[in-house]
Amino acid sequence: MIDWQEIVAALELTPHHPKDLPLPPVRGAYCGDMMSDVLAHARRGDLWITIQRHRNVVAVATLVGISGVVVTGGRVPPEDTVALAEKEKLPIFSTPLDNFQAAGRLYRILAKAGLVPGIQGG
Amino acid sequence: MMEELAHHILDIARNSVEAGATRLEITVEEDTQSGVLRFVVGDNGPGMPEHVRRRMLDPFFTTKSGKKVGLGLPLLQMAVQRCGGHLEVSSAPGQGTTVVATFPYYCWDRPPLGDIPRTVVGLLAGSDQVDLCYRHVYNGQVFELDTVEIRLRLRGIPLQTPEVLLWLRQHLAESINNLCGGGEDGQDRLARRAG
Ligand SMILES: Nc1ncnc2c1ncn2[C@@H]1O[C@H](COP(=O)(O)OP(=O)(O)OP(=O)(O)O)[C@@H](O)[C@H]1O
Ligand SMILES: [Mg+2]
Repeated sequence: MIDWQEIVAALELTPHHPKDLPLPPVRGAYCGDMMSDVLAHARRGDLWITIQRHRNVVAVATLVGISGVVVTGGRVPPEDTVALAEKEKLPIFSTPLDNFQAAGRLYRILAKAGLVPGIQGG
Repeated sequence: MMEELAHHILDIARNSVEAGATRLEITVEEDTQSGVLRFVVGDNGPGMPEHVRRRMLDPFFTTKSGKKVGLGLPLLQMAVQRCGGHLEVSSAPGQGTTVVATFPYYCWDRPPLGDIPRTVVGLLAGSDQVDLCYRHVYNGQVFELDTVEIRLRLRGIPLQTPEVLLWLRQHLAESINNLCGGGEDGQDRLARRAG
């Protein structure tokens, strides 16, 4: 099991969803800014790292079954996106890290938990 | 947004087909001088009532059953906004629907036009009730193809015959290439067109 606390600390995440929103288990991650690519390749339970903060992000995340969205580069999701995420019970965070840094730090956590295919946990 | 404008065009044209349109008019206009790339998808379908038009850009709105989200128009709007272009949709019951997406020609974030022949042939392969007119305008030069005329020339051979579709795809590819890539600085223009 992945510890959300560890992810939040390592990726320097600021939540934009209600405090009492239950966080679903994280089973993997996907990094991408093109909606059609994420629709095609991200998987249920993935944490999604992206620079995008349009409300379409919430619809794509919901369709895929994303466990949480991480908006990178110090970008803050606008009000309509935050409201829609709350309605869909989708955890949404922002981080000052860029895509590369955020993905790198998350990769280390997921690999340790044995959630990166081909990489031994330990 | 998507990797190619052709994917957006396919999505928007599918809306027309799904709405029951029998004629589609797709125009791609490239003007490298004024720096504009525009595509227009028009149909003779039923058009949208006001309550649909109001919500068509909401990603959680669709009138199609078994779906929770409707992404075709919202993703196009996102692509357009990303590079400071604009999207216009005119639609009314009984009047059909016309979608106009205008992009700056030179913008790093603009998806390349992509594989138009594939999109056109894909549309025709998927729906035998539909006639389609494809127009490509490059700096004022026009190429046009209408399946009504092609059907006449085929004298009863179905448009959806694999050989016909294959020919159509090659013909479109060559014609668009000649229109946009011809001339001395063809390579250069082609490269810039790719984004
Ligand atoms: N050409 C059209 N004619 C009539 N209605 C249309 C047309 N285009 C879109 N609509 C209406 O707008 C709605 C939203 O369209 P949009 O493409 O955004 O989503 P969708 O087609 O419902 O789902 P998706 O594109 O994700 O498969 C459609 O459900 C339909 O009711
Ligand atoms: Mg659609």
